[in-house]
Amino acid sequence: MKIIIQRVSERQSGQLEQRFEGDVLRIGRASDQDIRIDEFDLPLSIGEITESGGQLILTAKAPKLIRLNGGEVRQQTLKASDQIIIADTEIVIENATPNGGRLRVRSSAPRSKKSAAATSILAAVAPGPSKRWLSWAAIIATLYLGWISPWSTTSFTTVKTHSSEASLVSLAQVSSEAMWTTGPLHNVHRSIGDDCSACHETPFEPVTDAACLSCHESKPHHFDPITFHAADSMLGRCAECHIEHVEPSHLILRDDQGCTDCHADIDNIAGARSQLRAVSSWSAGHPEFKVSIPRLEQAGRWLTERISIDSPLAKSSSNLIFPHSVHMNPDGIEGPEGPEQLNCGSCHQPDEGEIGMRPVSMEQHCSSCHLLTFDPDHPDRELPHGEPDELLLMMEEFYARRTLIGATLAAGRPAFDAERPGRTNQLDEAARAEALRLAKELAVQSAEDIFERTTCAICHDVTRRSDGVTPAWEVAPVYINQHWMPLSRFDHGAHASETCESCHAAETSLVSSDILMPDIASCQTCHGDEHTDDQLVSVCLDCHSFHLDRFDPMVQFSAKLERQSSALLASGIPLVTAQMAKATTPAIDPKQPEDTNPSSHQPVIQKEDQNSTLHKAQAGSER
Amino acid sequence: MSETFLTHRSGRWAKWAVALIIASAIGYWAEDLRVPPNGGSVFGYTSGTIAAVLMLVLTYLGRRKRHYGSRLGTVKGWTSAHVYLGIALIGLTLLHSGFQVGWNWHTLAFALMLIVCFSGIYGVWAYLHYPALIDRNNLSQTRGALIDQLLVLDQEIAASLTRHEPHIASMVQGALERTALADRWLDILRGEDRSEVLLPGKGLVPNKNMTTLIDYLIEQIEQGAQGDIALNLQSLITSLGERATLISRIKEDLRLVTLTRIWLIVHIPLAFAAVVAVIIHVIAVFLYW
Repeated sequence: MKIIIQRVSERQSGQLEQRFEGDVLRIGRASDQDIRIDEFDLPLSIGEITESGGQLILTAKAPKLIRLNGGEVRQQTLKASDQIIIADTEIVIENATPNGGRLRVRSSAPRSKKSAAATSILAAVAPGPSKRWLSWAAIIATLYLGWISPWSTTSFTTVKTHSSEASLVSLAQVSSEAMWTTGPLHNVHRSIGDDCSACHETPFEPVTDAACLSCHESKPHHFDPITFHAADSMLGRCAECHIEHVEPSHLILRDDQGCTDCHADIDNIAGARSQLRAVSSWSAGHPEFKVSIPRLEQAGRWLTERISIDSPLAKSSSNLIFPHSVHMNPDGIEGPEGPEQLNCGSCHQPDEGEIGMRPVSMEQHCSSCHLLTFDPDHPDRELPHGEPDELLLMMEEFYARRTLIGATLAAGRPAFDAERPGRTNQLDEAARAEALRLAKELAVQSAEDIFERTTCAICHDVTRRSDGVTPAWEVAPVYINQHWMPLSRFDHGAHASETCESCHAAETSLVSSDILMPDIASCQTCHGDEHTDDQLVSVCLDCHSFHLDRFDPMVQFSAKLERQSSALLASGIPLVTAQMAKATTPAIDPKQPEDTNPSSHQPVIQKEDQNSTLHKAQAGSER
Repeated sequence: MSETFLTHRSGRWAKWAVALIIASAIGYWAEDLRVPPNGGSVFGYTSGTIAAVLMLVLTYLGRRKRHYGSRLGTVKGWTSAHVYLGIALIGLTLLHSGFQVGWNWHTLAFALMLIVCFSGIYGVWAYLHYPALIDRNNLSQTRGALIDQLLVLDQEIAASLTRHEPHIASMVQGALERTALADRWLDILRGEDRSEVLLPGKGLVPNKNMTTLIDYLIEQIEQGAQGDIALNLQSLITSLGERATLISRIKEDLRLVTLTRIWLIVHIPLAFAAVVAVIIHVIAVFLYW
């Protein structure tokens, strides 16, 4: 390609001819271009002219800046008298043949204001984007994520909809309410999901007890808040002991401080007379255990008395004669099939949950050895247990049958002929009367024997009651205590690695009035405080509960108290007495008979119906 | 050695910062809590309040340093406090949170603050480390002076081009014009150089540090240039070598200055984001009390 470039300058009269030889004719601002267009705001390269098939081809490198015959161009074959316009420069094709072509370049541009210095950009270099705009972007993004977007998702402002109802709004919600939680919910509360307002009912207000009690409506109180309303007013919110959203998750605060805050100074805290003793710590500030001892009142009712286990008065009065030492004789004891070695488990078996022990009963645990026979000649005849008033009559009937049918009763006794076929089957009156008299005499003899010397008297406290002709015996009612320490929990299964004797000194107990429950020192050999280094870490809640079944549900009490205070405010009539009277009504739980003394902090004295108690005792119930 | 913002008044603010951390640590470990330590305890609220106020004060440095008429301490004092209290803020907020983190907004606010603090710590290091390097690189001159030298050199080279053959002259002039240094910070850090030269028969080829052009000119001499032409080429090569050195100094200056300031594009926007996030954090924890 050989082309002559003719430059026409308007400012400097005259023409300049330049010969080009090469493959590519370059047009641009740079000095290395073949047609240089010296205007500083143009690119270094604008276009190229090349040869193809005997024709000149114009290729635009900056198509917006280059026009061919007034139109836009990308690639175009040039022909004679074509006109290329780049900014203020005009290039006219005078001859379009590749070898011998001729271009006329005419520039009407003023002289460049400034020579295109290579370094013009260098002074203006700024490191990075504008911090001001980045800052605004960061602020707006944070506000959007943390304020605008959540505002539409918070459960305070939204009506709950099904998640399937996707909408344009939900697309814009890039955040969920879950992002505010400081930790996951406890397992038992997971079903609440992310419905924050289930508990956080009102914005900017701590979670209320009402929110808790709306689900936990049956949760009983810790004490009787009518009597101890001073203490009730000091009791914190549910959420002070039941902590959510913490890690590691532990819904119930189990530390002792929550208990000892009040119980260390319970006399002053309670606000009314309390039977409780102060407890400041397990190892150094816990009083000796009290045991609940059933006592038979004059009126025939069993009352439970709470006595410290180290008191000399701590003696059981179950009215049962039972020396553990005899039964647990290491040399064995006479059993129905020869000598037998008894151990604790022979009579005391754990219940299903292996928490406590099943009741011991005469029928299951005693009767195989303690036979209720009454006549050595008839060792197969046994009396029923638990019906002392019936026994004399039953034995009289037994003996009457023998005397009336003429069996030989005993050596030296006159025999009566038995009834035989062919003979008159009627005894004469005198003989009949004699037979019955004799039967009664024999029955009384046997009764005296079993009631006063043998069978019954071995275990029971029996009193002879003479009311004239027929003797009678009264067996003192028996009450086998099943819950010596009803205010604490004890899990026998958890202590299975220990022997029974390590806590219950049964082998050396000579009398049944011994209370074989361990004292606090016995527990303290293994159990230490919550901060102990060398013992089993133990806290109040390991043995004691806060919510006690024998009290009414909290929700009920809070409603009562609310009514009381609002009524007081409204009318000025003190309703306290009415509330007190109401509080004396029996507790709702029949398993836990209540003390009727409204001022008792711990109503553990069990009052039972007189008749049922007697019935139990007379029935020989060993419960 | 003169007093810097680090040694301002014998490290008065360093002492305050240490005192703040010690007091916070005592408060944290002395508090007898029934739950794992968290921002909701007495210490939690106290440390949170102090930390939030500190964040606002630290952010205010940006305003104070432009407020020349202010008599509220010196800017050097403010910077000193900004650095030391900003570092103390990391410990304070860790204690405030009870060392608990999770996928939630509260940790987001904490994370933003941490990024701001650590970018600031980098900034302190950069301000201590780079100025000496820049001074050594620039031979104690400003970048403006280097650029002026380059402009003068370019004029001298351009003026000398009349002594050369036209195609050499236009090639060199084009190479001067096609000197293109990076103007974006990432390219500056990479030392990017998009300079080009139009070589006969090869078209536009990269001309980093003028090496391609210089090599081409050396080739011309080797191919038998004689007499004045060779001498002129020799002198042109010398000038272009000077130019290459100047340009690499400017490039290194750009790189070092960028390294000195780069942290600010993280530090400042995220500082504002962290302040907003903390305000939302405070509102949220009481909204869901």
